[in-house]
Amino acid sequence: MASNPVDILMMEDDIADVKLTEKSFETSGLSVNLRVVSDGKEGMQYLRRQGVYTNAKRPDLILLDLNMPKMDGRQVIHEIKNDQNLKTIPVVILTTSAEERDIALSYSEGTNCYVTKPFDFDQFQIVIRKISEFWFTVAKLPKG
Amino acid sequence: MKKTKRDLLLETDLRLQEIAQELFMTKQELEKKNKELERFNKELERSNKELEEFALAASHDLREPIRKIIGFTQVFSREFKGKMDENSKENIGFITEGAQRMRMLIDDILEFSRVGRAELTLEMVSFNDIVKEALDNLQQAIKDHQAKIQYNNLPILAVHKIYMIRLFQNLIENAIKYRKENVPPEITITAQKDKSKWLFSVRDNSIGIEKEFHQRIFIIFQRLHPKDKYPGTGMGLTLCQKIVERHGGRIWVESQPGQGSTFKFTLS
Repeated sequence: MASNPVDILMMEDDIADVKLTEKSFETSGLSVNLRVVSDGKEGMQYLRRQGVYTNAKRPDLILLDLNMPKMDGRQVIHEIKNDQNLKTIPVVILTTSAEERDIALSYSEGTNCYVTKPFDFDQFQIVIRKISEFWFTVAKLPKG
Repeated sequence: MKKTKRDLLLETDLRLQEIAQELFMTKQELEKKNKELERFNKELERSNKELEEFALAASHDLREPIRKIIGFTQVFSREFKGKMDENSKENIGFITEGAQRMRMLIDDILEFSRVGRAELTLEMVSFNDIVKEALDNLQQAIKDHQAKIQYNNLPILAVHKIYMIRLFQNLIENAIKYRKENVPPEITITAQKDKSKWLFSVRDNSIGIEKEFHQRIFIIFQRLHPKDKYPGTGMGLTLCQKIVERHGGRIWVESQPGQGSTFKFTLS
């Protein structure tokens, strides 16, 4: 188990899914600082520490929804993985789409993994737990 | 006055010219009509494609609100578990059932529009293997109802494998679902060559279908029985028809009430 709290940036415009995710992290036992932005534009500002986000902390993991207003997840993954400073941050795409073309495109842009949000809310909680378990207790992350 | 040979020749010549003129105009009209038909066909093709893409997009976007309804009804019932009386529990049950049913319908529409749009990947496959895979997918139902399925000597043809498995799966699933009470389902699958086509036959000993409904069962969402009697969305046979048509064939049923059904389809 990670001893320090981990910093996760979630790019998600659906309030209900944010609420569910927060709840799932609470019950996971993992100490998480969850920051949420509701569109890709704001997300990139956060990562680049621009505007109101000058003091933003570099996240250990990014949870990214594909369907967001202003700038969607597909553009975001492209920008992150083509930015020398940001590309080493693991990105987990967490989205409703199970479309083959979205999966293929995401991996070809360099996403670290792709997860389809389960229909069932109990399953959703289990999935969030598994994601955090894997990325923070099994996988090794580069030092920021 | 008697006509001279010359006069007759002139008359014939004139008449021939008139006929040639008429033929030319008819030809022009035909060409004009053909062009119109071509334009109309292109328009129909475009419209069909648009409808299929619409169905795909709509059913895809509808999944999300359904997810919310189902999910939060779950959360809601859990939070108020001890405090709800039987009546409230039943009401919540109706909401959840309604949402689940909607989800099934949407998933079926999604699948249907995918089959309509997708490129077919044709590969030579043995239909013995196809039926075997369909049966594997229906293992539980087959076991539960002691269903017996016979098939052999099925041909090897160039088809889109996954859709063919789906086709047989739906037909066999129906044969089991609409079985006679206390009679284990028996299904026989055969195929024979008929000139340039193959004719497949899936015969069962189910409750049968009245002649007046032989066409209706293939229409989307049309069902002959109430949904709590036999589960399903009424999409299974519509999908079968779509799959067969995409392979250049035709599907129909021969059946009588109480005497089982034989679903037949051709593949070219």
